[in-house]
Amino acid sequence: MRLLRSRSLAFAWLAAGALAGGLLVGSAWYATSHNLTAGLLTNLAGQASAQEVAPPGPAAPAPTTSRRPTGEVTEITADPAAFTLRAEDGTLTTYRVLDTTVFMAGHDRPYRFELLKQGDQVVVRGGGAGKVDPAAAASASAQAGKGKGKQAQPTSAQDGELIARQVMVRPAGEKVKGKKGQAASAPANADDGGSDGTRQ
Amino acid sequence: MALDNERARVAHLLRRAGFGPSEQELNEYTQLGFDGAVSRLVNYETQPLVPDRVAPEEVGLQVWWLDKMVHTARPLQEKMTLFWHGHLTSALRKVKDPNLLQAQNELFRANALGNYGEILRAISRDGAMIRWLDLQTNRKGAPNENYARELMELFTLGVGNYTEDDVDEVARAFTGWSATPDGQFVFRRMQHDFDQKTILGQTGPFDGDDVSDMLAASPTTARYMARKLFRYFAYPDPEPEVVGRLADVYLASSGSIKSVVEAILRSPEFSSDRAYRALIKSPTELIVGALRTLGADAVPPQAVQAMRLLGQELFNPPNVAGWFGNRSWINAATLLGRFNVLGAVAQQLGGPVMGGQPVTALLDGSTTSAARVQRVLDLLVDGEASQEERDALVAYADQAKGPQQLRGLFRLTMALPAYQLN
Repeated sequence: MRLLRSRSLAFAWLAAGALAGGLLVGSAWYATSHNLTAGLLTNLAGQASAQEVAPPGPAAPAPTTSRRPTGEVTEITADPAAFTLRAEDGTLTTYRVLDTTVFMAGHDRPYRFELLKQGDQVVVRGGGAGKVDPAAAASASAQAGKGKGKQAQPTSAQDGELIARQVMVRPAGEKVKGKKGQAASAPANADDGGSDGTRQ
Repeated sequence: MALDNERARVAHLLRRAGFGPSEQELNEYTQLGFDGAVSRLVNYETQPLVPDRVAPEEVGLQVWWLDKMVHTARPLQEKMTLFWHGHLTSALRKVKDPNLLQAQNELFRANALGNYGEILRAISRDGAMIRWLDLQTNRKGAPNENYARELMELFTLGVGNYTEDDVDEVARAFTGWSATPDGQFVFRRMQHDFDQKTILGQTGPFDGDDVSDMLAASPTTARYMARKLFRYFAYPDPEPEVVGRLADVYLASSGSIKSVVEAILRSPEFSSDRAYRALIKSPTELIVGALRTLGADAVPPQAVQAMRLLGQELFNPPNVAGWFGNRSWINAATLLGRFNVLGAVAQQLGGPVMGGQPVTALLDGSTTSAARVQRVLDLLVDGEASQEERDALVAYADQAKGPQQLRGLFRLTMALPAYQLN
């Protein structure tokens, strides 16, 4: 009987502990879910603005060319596939979208050009001036090979057009979440030197 | 009690070849009998394909896949998709493109019980895999051996069954196998080494497909895959004769994974005492199983963080060898985490996530404490519990009057050791 009572007591404690723990875990869940895109945009935008205001001088970090265009989508065209973004300073820039342009909306959240809409916040990578996509060119040349692989890319940008190679999107209407002053989880394209396909 | 009746055997089957059944599902499969249930599971194309209820573009890949697992009418297809994800791994932290991981996931689903040679050919062309194991940097004159080594060590032969020369030569066979920035396979002819290679004692101008076929047809691969699949579905450390028997099935069927899995599920070893509750539920099995059994309507987004805390972040396996599994799932931290996560699921009972039905509806009209306890045990652990556990639950149920306390009864039952086991 004593054993039974102690078991019941143990279960009661377990229930109480589980309730408290569950609340703890639940809080952690809510605090961290769905803020990856926001964190990404915040991080990248932060990087860009930090580079803009960094004072010259021996103590200042060496300037880099990794600043990435960030802004709000104001216009989208389907043919040719392109979008225009407005930067914080009001500058309007149009980027061409190729078949190989990669869209994503978070580290585990795929995205597509077809879903892009006015008001979306985006960060553009690889916005170089127009030239034939080397991958597409390589793909095209490969067709002379064993008949394997992708067909040649049908499109390449006109000379002078800016090409978006990777576009990170925070869809319009989605709020930035996460704790103030604290970076969210590592973004998908952060150069984190993360572990690779080797065993640890 | 173990597996001494048809319903218990079918429940065991549905935990292993799926993620655990809802009560209605268990009733349906039990009516088919064990053999009929196996047939329905392996011939899953006869079952309806449940359309996606959530879009990965909106909720992310992890919630999207968990939702598929919870609502699928083809549990073995999803269970095998999870197997392939842990076997032919790739991870977001290096691939850095969720579109590619989604495409790989769909590849696994489409070939869940496919031919292993074809699966190897396909994964060698997969954009996520190419990026994960650096195939795009594998060029004639400067081969990158990463994919070649893992292909033999982890995907087919197993360590000790090939030489360093074989690694070099297989890498040469895959030179020029690359992908466009959006992950489409491309064969770069100028980077491919068309010269002769000697691999596992055979010489020829082999390319990647030749290697995939050669490795898939190897008796060593047959034993490797038979053992790995048996461990996934039945129990660790299978007897050599069991592995040999399943390897024969693999070879006789020219690498049909469906044939091997069906042979495992119908084997006497699968329904033996040794197999019953012999595996520890992975976090995926734990959470998806609870949601399925309790009739969840949706996957709470918090499940993603829970999975990470419990050691299984989907689309981010820890390394190229995948998750170690079984005993590695439980330690002092994750055991408490498992209780808490299951408690959080129980806490949702009666709410919209769990379909909105009152907690009392799950009790199916039982009113006495003993009947309620038996009902919850039936739902969650095949009705099995020691007398001590049962008495303790009844003592709790005696004081559980409102919905919140009844949720506690589910929570406590899911904290039983038996519920941690598959």
